[in-house]
Amino acid sequence: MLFALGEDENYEAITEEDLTTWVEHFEISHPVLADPHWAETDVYDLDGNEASHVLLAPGAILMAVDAIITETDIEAVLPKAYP
Amino acid sequence: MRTLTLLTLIQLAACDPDSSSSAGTDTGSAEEADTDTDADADTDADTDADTDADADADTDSDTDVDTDADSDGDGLTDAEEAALGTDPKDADSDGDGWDDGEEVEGNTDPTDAADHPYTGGWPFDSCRDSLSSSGTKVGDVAPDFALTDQFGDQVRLHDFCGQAVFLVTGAFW
Repeated sequence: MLFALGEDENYEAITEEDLTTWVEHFEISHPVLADPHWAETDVYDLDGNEASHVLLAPGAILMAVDAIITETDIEAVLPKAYP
Repeated sequence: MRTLTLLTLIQLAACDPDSSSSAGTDTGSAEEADTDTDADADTDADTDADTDADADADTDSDTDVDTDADSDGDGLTDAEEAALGTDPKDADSDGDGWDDGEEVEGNTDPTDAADHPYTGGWPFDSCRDSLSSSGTKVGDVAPDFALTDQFGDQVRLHDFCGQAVFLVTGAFW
């Protein structure tokens, strides 16, 4: 799980201090990234709207962009459990 | 019998690294400080030629490195460090705060101070530098990015190329 934050509550570019606030408030243990105004992640811009979630399989292969992603979709890209 | 003994002595002398000089190896001449740390009768100038698995060190600084020694205790043998271009006598060759062995294990470059394991402990995958983006549509290889995480490290998307990733974007509002 990667979380890319773009703006603060005032629509200003996100700062590293904002990241800390977010991480501590939600007690997050995965990477939370600062992407001011989504400058990097807007490559998945769909019809003028930034994609809010993207699912990638190993190899960084795009499996879903801003679609409804179900548990089944996620399980499909996870490593298979040993029998 | 006497002839045989003499012949044997000649043969032994021919095999003694201390009895002749050669380029690239420490011949152990009198003015050089050869040591035999593991007391295997070979000087440290030898690259553990007796393959006794003892950790000979290059303590005489003769530029020969021993295949099984880890002089700086960083988890990499001197021979591995020679191949990687790291300093076998400096556990942290690039001075970034991470031992060379940790960097190799973590798939980062031990000769690049800007490339080191994440403070947050996020794993690096070995494919991180071999991917090429092919587009932003389903089925494409996603473009890489580098963004700052909550610890101030630059995180690259392709560092996680060996695993499934769920990327979520959001805002405070």
